[in-house]
Amino acid sequence: MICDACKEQEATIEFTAVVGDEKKTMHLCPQCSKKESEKQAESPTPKVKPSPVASIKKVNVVIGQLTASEAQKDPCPGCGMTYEEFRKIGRLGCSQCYDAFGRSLRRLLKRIHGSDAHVGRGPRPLEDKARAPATAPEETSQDLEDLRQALDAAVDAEEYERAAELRDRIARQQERDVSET
Amino acid sequence: MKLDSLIRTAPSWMSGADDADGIVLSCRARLARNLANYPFATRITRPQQQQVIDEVLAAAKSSRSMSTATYFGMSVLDGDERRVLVERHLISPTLADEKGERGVLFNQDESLSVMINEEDHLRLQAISPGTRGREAFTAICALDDELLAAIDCAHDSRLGFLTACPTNTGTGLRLSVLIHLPALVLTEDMERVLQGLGQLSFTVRGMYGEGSNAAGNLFQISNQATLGASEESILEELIRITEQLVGFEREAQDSLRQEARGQVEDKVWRAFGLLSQARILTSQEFMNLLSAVRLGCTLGLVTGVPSSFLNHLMIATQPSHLRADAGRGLTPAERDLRRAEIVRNKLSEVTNS
Repeated sequence: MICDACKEQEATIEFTAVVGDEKKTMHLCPQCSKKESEKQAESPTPKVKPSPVASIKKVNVVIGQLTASEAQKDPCPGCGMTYEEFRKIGRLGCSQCYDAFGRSLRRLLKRIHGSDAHVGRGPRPLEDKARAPATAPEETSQDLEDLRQALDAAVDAEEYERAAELRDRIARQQERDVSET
Repeated sequence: MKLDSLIRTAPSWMSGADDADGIVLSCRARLARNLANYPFATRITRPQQQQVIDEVLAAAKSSRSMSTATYFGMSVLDGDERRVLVERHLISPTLADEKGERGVLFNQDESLSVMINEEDHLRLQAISPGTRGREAFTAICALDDELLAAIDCAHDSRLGFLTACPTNTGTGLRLSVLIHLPALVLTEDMERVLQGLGQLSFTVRGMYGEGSNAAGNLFQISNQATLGASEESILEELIRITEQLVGFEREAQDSLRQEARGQVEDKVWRAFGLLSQARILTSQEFMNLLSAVRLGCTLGLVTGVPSSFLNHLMIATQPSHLRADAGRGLTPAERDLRRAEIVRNKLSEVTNS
């Protein structure tokens, strides 16, 4: 699909614009979507709400998961605590809450600590990881979770080009993981 | 009272060792840990709390650092006895006041302690006197290793140690120093220093932690972030900041010496006179006078009064210590009388010797 704005580049982003009561959908390339976003930011009452839904299937899937996990409707399977309840009392119910509230919690951790990855001591002496094969390419050494987080960040920052690239890497990684097992 | 022998002595971290300047009183390290197979404090049941206690006590018994430690369940102590432990920094007000099966384990010189079933299942603490932050850190890491060898701990390879509150996730480490900064307060430079600390993501509180005032110019500086920086780097940062603060305080003391010598000497000796003669001392007034005398010691104006002595006075004149010492409940007015009496007597002992 060709970009609705510049009619040159391939459109990878779907914009949903609300004009009055009407909903209008545009298909844009990354450059034009960026311009469009900037336009939105400048106008005092944004009429067009960019929605990061890309036209490529897999981005839809990943970003769909992302928006679903935003809501955090499901309670923690370990203790039954909901994200809403956690937000009220500020304390988690059990260690499984960290998985159950995954992304939202990691964003919170990042806001609190400026980081969401632990550096330092573990419960027992760490295993010697130095002997892991050093021939693996850069891409495979990064775990899926890192890539997903980078994707989160890219979507947050509305860097759709990077998001698309990360999505492809996640897909390749997943295929590799499947073929390995 | 079960804590009789405790109240007669000062904890080892108040010994004043390494406190040549009388500026850094003590350093404290705290680790938050949870057992893997139990819900956190908001969801745990009483029987589960008891199981946690049993597991921890068994692990402690087989450890080197805590095998001879004393354990007090909160249920065997009355309110006043719990307050004594709070005043000695062995437990938090939360542990003292909340319901449920809770307790504290501490070693003879009170340098190491473990609160069980506080906000997290385990809160390990090590305190060392003066600027020996590394000593406290080493001690707490050793205790942590020993306990975790016997306990299945809630941990995630990415997020580190999992804690009930996300502000402690990761290392679970809170490092703090208790620091006396009277000259910075007098020269009104403290505000600026505090702002600088905020930017470095270190927080400043009063001596008794969250929500407490900085009585007697005593400040507690501690790290904010627990995720993304290693324990070692947090320690190094705190040591660096402490050295800087001590430097600022010294500079402020120098300028006081040069520009207001008479006024400073007057302030110190008036405080000394009041502490030696007053018949009624509120805790607020006492802390302020003590701060002035401590400044006098740091400046070399007052001699023969070691900082360990001042530290002990500070512990011994707190409300629950006074009550325990009297062996009965005291009204606030009686407490102020008694505080003045103890200070007077002890001060005459040290100055006549």
